[in-house]
Amino acid sequence: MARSRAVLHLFSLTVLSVGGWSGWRTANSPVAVQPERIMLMPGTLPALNPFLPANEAERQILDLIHEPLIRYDQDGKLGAALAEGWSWHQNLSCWFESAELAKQAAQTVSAQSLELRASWDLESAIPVSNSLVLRFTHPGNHVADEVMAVLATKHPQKLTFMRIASTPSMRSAIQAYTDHPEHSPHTKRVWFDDDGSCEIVTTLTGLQAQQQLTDWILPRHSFVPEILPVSEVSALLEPVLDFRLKPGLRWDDGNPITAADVRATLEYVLPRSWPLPGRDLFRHVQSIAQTSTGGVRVVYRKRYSPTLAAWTALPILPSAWLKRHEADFGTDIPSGAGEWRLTRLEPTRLWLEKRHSETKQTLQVIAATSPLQTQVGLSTHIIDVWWPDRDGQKTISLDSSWRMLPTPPHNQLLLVWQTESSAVKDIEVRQALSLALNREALSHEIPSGRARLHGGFFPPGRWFSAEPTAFIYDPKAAAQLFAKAGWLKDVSGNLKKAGQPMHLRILVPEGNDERLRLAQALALCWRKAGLVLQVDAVPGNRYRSDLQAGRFDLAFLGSEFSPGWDILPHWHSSQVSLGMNISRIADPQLDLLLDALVSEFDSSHILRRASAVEARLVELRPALPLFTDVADIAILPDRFLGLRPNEIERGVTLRRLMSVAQSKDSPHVNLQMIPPK
Amino acid sequence: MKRSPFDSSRFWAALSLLLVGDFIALWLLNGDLHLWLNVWSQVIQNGVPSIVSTFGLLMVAVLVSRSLAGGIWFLLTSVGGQFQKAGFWLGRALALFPVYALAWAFIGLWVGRWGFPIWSLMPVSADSKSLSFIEHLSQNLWTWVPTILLLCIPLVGQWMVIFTNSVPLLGTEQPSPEEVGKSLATPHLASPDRVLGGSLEELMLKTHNRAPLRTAKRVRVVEKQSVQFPNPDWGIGLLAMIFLLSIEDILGLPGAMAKLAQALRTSTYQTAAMPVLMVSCVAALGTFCTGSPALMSPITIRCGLSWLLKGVSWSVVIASLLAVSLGINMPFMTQVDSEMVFSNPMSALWAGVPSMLCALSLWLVGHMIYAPNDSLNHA
Repeated sequence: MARSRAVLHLFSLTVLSVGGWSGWRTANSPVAVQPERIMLMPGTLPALNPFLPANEAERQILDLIHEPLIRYDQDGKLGAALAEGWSWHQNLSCWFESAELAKQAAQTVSAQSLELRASWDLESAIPVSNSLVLRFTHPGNHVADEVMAVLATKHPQKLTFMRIASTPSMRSAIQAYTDHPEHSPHTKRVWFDDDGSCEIVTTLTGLQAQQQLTDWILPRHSFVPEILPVSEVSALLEPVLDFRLKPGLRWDDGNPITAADVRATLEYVLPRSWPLPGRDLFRHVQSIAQTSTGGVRVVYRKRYSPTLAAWTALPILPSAWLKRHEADFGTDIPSGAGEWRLTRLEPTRLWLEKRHSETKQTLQVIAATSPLQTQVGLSTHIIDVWWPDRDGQKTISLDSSWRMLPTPPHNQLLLVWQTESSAVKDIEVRQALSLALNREALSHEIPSGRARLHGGFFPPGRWFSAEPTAFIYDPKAAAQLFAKAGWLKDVSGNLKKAGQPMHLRILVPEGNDERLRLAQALALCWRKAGLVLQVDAVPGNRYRSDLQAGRFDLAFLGSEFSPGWDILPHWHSSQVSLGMNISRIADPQLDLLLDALVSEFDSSHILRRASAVEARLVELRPALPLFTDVADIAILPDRFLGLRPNEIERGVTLRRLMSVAQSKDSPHVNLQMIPPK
Repeated sequence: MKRSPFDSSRFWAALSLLLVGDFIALWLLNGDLHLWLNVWSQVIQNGVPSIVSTFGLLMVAVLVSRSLAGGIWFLLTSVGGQFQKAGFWLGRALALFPVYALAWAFIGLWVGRWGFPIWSLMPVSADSKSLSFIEHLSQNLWTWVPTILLLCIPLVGQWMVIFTNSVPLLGTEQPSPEEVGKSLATPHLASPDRVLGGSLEELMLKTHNRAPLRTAKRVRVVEKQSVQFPNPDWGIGLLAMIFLLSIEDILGLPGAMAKLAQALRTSTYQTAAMPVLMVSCVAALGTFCTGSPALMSPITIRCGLSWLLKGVSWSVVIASLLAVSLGINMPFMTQVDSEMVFSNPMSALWAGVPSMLCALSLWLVGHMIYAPNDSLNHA
């Protein structure tokens, strides 16, 4: 009995000792035992569709895996990605009756003096069959008339632009028309819009083309769409963007990355309703081809410089994979050309490994963790990066060693005035309303409690974005401006003009609680200034139609930042009838400035032009920029040494973080400068 | 009575538990025998590690707690009467303290305040290839040790209470066979029906002439005279199983009890069939190892009332534990969650105090109505 009791006591002592030892070891061993970075993301593991990220965390992961042709660097400047360089050119194409005439036209151009050709920035004049392609080193149409005057003696053929209001189902029939041997010689260009409508450039006259197309479509479809000649020109002016790809680029299967992949990616994405940033800019693309040096040549239909920046938003996928997944993207994750590649995938975790790295760098992404696991991971510092969701940010407590950093914004919220509305058509009234608005207080109405104030019309942090105007909340100055505009406060503090109180109507979409709350806060804020803001929540369809028809005084406009400097659709007078410019601002000077900006291909001038647009917009006040979205990322700063202070304020990307990630095994070096003796 | 290792009663008791589990699972599956067979095959294919882990935790915790309680009790009896009494009440308080509160408080302190890991809760498992053998060993051990230690806290308390109930606090010498015979000959004095006038009388008696028994005597007495559970190992095992429902779940262990708690939290009770079978396996194994329970019926109405109150006091503890594990809101009960304990670990302990006090007071009333072991002492 005594022996069994001794054994029992010995057993418990052993268990306690071993347990104590394991606890002591656990407490004294470094927690971060894995030679990899660990990232915790909200929700379930992402599907990793590069064109349909579910949240900012997935977007940033995709940014590691996939690579566009060019990308913004940490200074907000356009930099190399798959392409190491790019250049703009311009093609001028004209067609002649015969190949002989085209050759003669080329000789005529070559016979011009060197000085004249240099003044044209002419790079080459190459006859191709019965056409002549003149290539200029800079996009611009200022020399086109001079060149065409020289070529007039050779009688270039007139080109007619035919517009067909076709439906998507007619696309194959029209395509067959253009490919048909009888029609292809005089069909020079064809392109389709998303709605199925089509434009054809032909050497036929408008009437001939109309007749031929009608005859072609009639037996193939139940009705013939409207076919109209739009314009007639003697040459096609097409901007050309050449990308010089980095040498030796290959997909994981060993195939080289070529222009075919770029073309296949664009053709894959555009017909799908995925939220591709800069989608409208890609509609200007006429063709994508491979250059003789293996680069990518993009020919555009229209001179529109922001199209360059759109390439930062299009990750390039392998054409072979896209062909296999033509019908459906599926759950198969495509290999990317980014710095990191997916090496392992589990139901709740995935692993990425950095390519071409001297030391092995891996990133483990964990999803679908419980709040407790998340809290444990954060408290024990086994996690390096955490993407909190809205609930997590409220409930999970972080110790002082964590730091929350913003990521670059993608959307903006503006308060748009309907500038034709009698209540706010006066610029002084709009300025006074802006001054009477406390945007800082308004930002607290954002559900997550956080919004980043942004006073500019261009995205923050880009090289072309001018410094936005500072936020001023000055009720006194607002009252003075109201008075200047004839709005005076009565004894009860209400603004009145000619006996009528100031009464504004703001539209919000029904069911959008966030907007409704913001509008109510806005009404409360302006109530102090003496005006009444009526908040009208209307159904979605009516909301859109009311905005486009201008049936409102002011409205919130949430818009995605364009990848480039393309803000023309929102503020140009030509866009009022299209329903894009909902403020209905129509200012000739602003139009000129916007036109000049989108026609500017010299990057050194774009900042100046963008600043001029920004200044004019601030002056006219067609809208009041409020906030940008903000997605926070929590990091342990001591594991990401090398971040610059401005990056910490402006926002960081996961890509940038991983580039400055310190290996957990690497020693911390604290070098001190020795002062000279 | 020394039980034979091949005592058939334990086999039948284990089989009964297994059958009870089967019937419950069958009921959960709406009597679908095909599904029931499928669930059994799932248990055999995937459930064995969970069964083994829960059973292992139970066995180790019961053994360690018994040994620890014995050691503590030995120290207390060596020191003196006041400490012995304090030990008794401390043990009772520990046994009735909600174990989920202890588990959350531990997590709040160990992880939240000190930043040390609990490997079963970590969102990332360490890469075993990069670890040395010692690190690997300590990690593996630390996965299980917190659970065992947490489970030991109430079990030690309960063991101490059992030891106290088994040992005459009055401290008289162990009655000689002649004295026992005399007692039996004068049943009006030694009858179990003869109860003390009350708790105060009992306490007054116990404070006099205490002479601690030698350990050998005490252990023998424990085995023979535990009143409410003649087989205390079985009773403690049952308690440990109930406590494990909460601890395994909170600490994220892949045991059968955690799986049961997780399944019960979902509204689809059919999913609970597999954990129920696994739990019945654990219970059957435990019963087979510890022996079958032999619950006594109350001797008097007073005794029955006392047992009823004590049962209610345990129900309070178990109900609060189930409420927390299954996410049920109960009146007067503070919900404990990770957000709360990570901001203030002590708040979890405070949250457990009301139910412990409630249970303790009920138990105390029951104890005052009928104190079980004093018949021999009083003789």
